[in-house]
Amino acid sequence: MQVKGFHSTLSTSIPLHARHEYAACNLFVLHELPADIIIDSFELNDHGLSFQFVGNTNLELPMSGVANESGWLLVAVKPEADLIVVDVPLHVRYGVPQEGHDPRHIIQLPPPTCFWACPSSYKSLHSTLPSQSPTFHLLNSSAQLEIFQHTTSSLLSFDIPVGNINHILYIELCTVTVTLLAFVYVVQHCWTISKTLYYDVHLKMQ
Amino acid sequence: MQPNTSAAWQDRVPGFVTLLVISVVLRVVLILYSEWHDAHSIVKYTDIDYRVFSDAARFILYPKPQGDIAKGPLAPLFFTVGNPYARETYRYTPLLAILLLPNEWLHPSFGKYLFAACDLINGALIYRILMSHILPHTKSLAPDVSAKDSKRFMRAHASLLAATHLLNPLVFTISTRGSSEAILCTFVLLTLFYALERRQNAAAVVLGLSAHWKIYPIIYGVSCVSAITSQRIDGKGWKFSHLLRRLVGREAICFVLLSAGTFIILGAICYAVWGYPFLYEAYLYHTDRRDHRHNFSPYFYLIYLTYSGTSANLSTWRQLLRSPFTSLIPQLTLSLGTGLVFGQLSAGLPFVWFVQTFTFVLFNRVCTSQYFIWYTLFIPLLVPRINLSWKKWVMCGAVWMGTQALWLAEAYKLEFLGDDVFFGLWVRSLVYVVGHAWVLGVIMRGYIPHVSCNQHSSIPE
Repeated sequence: MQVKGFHSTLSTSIPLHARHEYAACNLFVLHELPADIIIDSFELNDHGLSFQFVGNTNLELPMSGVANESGWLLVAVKPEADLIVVDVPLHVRYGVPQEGHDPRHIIQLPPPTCFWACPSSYKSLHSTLPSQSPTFHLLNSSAQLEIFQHTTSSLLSFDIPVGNINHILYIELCTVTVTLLAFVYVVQHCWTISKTLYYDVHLKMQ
Repeated sequence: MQPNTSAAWQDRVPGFVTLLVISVVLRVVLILYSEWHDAHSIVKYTDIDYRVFSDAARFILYPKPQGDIAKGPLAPLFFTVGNPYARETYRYTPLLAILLLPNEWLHPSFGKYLFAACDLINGALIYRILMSHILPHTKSLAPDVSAKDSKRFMRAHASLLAATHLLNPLVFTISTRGSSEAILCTFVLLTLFYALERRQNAAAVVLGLSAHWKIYPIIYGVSCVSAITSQRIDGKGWKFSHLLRRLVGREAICFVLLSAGTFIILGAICYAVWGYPFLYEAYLYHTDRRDHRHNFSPYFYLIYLTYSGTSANLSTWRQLLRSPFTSLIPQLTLSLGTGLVFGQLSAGLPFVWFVQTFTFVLFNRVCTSQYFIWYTLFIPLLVPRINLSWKKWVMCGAVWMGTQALWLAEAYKLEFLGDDVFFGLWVRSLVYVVGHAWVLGVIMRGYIPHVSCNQHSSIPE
């Protein structure tokens, strides 16, 4: 995943060499996403994805305003080719401000879990999803699972800039000062024009 | 800025009907392009807000499976009306979602065509106001033009000025991308038109509708009432009844009651159907919103840095520095005060509303590009009465756009490249405030008011 900035796409490539063996099964990709990541369900709908997201759906809060709990995104995929690519647009919340020079926050994305969900007749399949993952209505609770071992890649890690709390006092002072100076400047012009209008009105009335 | 009065200049300007046709074609082409672009590109032409409006309209027609229906005290009992506020980030009046219901049963781009149509209506209103109320009273505009040619001159001048709105890239891009600002601009211009026509009741009703749509047009009510109460006391002396009539005049009270009544009735109907979600999302949310993500206002960085912190342990002056009142007091003092004072002094409603809106936007704790259209709307109406050299105009334009470009360049680095430029972006926000305040000052200095001696009129021009 090439990550720059606060907007990116999480792209998962799934090779399906033996997909004919799972003709009666459904293919899924499960993403565990840290609280830093924003999933816009409406955007995923626009991308034509069939999915279920369990987690914080607020699109606007920064990290300071949400609980530090992972979200889970389950995407149903149609196994129509030997190589499937699943693209999920991601957005990142503003991180908790920190101290120091050019502070940055590191975000780690666990690798996705790709798996077949098969009917109960597939008795040889015994994989299980991560224990902390929630229950999904998209997934049949009695399904037998086969997790793809070879898509378990190294941890994805990227960093984003965060605000610098050493700046706070400076920001407070300068923001208010500039605001007040702009206010005084505009008031001065209002005063000048008011005087002109006042004399004009009185002159014409006389 | 004095126009060239030669006949050749007037003949080169297309008529208003031609201008309208060009504007229609431009907008239709852009809307058709937007459909093609969105179907073939990951980066969409259409504004994300349009998706929000469209989803909200869909939720009214087809409530979400979780049964999110309207829950107001008088919600329809025999048929289901969906809840537009089930759509996250939909923070508008439900009337907007209702207006866009044809997106579902007619065509997904219906809303864009509606907003583009409002653009054209706005251009027509600007033309009409110029022809009826601004240009006829601007005698210094064309001293050498004969009476015979003056009508032709006025038409050319009005077309040219209306073109600055109709062919303004900011205007047609906003509407064809699916932003609903054009609808509010129509309501505001209609209010202004009726006020200048001295049709106070109509002005009051449309002002109430404007304020229901978005709260900020309430500031125009101050200038309207102020202008009404600036009626000259006649020569019968300073009787108590005359004084009282001036202070609590029948016209002023009627205006306030009609305007407030329209606002309250519309709000009550929406509350009756959709209940507290309407009240919160459309109004209450905006009173305490904390926009921490970058926007033109320098307050974004302060809000972000202090988002979850508490001010209780800080000294009094630090609490004062962080208080929302540091921006609210200048904002309300100027946006309401200028309405009060300039309205009383008969400065001309287009100018008063321009200054009120400009100061409201400048000192707001959040500011995005769409907000600028709230005051650029009035510029075509002010130009005939602003005496500035073309160099000054160019400088104003350069500063106004340049400060935004400076900010946008840094914002791009933050949002899409992940560079650590929070501080630099905040500095450029300060530059934006300073630059735009300067532009406002220049325009105010160049304004030549038209003061009417006839103070018996209800709302002098």
